[in-house]
Amino acid sequence: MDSPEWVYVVDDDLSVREALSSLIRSVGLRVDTHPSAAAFLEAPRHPGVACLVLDVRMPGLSGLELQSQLTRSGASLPIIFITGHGDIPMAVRAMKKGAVEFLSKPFRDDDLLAAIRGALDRARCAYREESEIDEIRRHHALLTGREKEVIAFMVKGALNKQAAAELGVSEMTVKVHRHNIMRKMGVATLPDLVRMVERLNAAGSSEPGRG
Amino acid sequence: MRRSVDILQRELNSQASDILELTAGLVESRKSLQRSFTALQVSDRRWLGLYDNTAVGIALADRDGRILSANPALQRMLGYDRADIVGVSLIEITELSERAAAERNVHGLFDGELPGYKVHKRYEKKDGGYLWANVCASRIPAMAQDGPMLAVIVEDITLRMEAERSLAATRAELTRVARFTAMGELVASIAHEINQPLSAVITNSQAALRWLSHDEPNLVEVAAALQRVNRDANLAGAVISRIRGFLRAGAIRREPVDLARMLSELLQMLQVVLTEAGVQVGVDLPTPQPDLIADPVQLQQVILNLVINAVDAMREQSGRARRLDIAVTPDPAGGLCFAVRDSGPGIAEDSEARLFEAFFSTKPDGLGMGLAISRSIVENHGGRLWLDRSAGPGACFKFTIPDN
Repeated sequence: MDSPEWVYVVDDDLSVREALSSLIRSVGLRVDTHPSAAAFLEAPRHPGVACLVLDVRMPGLSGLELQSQLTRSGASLPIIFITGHGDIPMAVRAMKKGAVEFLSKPFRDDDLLAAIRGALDRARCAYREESEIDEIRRHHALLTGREKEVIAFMVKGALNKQAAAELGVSEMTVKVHRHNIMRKMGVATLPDLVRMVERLNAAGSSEPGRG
Repeated sequence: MRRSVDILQRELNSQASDILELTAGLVESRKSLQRSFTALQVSDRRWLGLYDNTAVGIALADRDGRILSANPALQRMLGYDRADIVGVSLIEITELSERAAAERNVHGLFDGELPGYKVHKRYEKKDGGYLWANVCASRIPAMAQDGPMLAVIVEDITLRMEAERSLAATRAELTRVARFTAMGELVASIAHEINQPLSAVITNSQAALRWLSHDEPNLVEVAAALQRVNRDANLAGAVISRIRGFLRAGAIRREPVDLARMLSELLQMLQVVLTEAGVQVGVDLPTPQPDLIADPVQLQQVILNLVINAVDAMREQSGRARRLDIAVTPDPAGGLCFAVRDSGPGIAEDSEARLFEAFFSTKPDGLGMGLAISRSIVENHGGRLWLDRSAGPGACFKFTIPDN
């Protein structure tokens, strides 16, 4: 990956923050620590792949609340929870909501580092996925209004004749539109185009957003 | 002749009038007799009606406490019928722990050495159950051919006692839960406070090892991590010192303590627990009452802890009588020495060493704080609390409260 990968650490305890920072940096990763969920939310985010090591119980916004807030805002930041209280129901809740790992303090460095690697892998996949969707969106944005209408017929598997009739144009015109669509979207076959449109629909209308 | 007839006639008349008078008198006295007899009958019937229908139990008893007659209420209370209750000894059906006292009372009352008395105790019913009773006894002096007798009035307070007992049990349970919750929270917060720097120490030392294992070890990072290890380990140590301080702390009040009153208040508070567990308590105080300057609340807490432990220890024991003795004696070194001795199974040797440690308990649901707190209270007073092995069987805890 060209851009550096970051590990955010949010814990209200200074000793824990400093220790985690040193451990994570010792394996060549970059660390950004924050004493509270609010401080983390206010600080600017580094572009690229990242994950979050998050204390469950903190004064103010708790780790679980921060997780909910991040989920709602659509940010894809894999979370590793750490806790001083071996609280199983809490762990279950956090894992159900998509946490990568739930570690009780004190934990083994190998366990934490493995969890961080797993989280970064996940972040990398999500990052790649989002980059590709962005790419598709960029192509899709080049289409004209008429081409967007034609593409809807293509995805449904309609014949050119049907599309032409529905749109009130000649079959030849539809063929020209199809050709332009394939070129602008950068695909060679109809199945490729269908897959692309499906991914676009699955990702929703949300704007390309990260960093 | 005529004259003598007249005289005779007069005499006869006078006699007739005498007889008349006498008869009238007789009739009158018979009427009066009838009236008083009726009155007696009425009175008798009233007494009988009261005896038969009242809700309190009434018995007449002899010198051995044997029932000569008992009213229906008492028959019902004790579960006997009219015939078989006669001859039942009120002493023998008194619960074991009170029996000796009952015998003393009955004899003392019968022999005129004691005035009437009122007690609060349990009788064993015919079916083996217990009757909680308020008992009021008085002596009926000898009359005609009857010797003296005892009149015993018994009020059934089982329901009230059960309500009180369940209230006390609920209250005790609540206190225990509250204490447990408070302790649980305290323990959790201590654990968290120590765990935080401890996990930082672990992570820092692991980080230091990783910085060292690089091809070119980063000694600046290693040193920084080791400094943090040092700092955080000290932090954890400070938390532990603070807990020790907390157990030691608590400013004590110093004021004169009325020893007898404090102990009787304490035993009254524990009456339900002691009766329930069938424990007899003996208290031995020096006379005249010695001066004692201490914190009465804390002192009471120490004795309370020792008594509760003793009662808990004896609860499982059967066979031997359950007995608790509290003795206060002058301490040779000045001040007083308190001893709380029970007739329970004693303290196992292997738990003796840890007995006064916080969170150590031999009870399944014990918190292990009683003796730890007691010892720190006694030490705050400048005294000592220890287990006296020489005073077995059973356990004997002693503590001293020195003069100021």
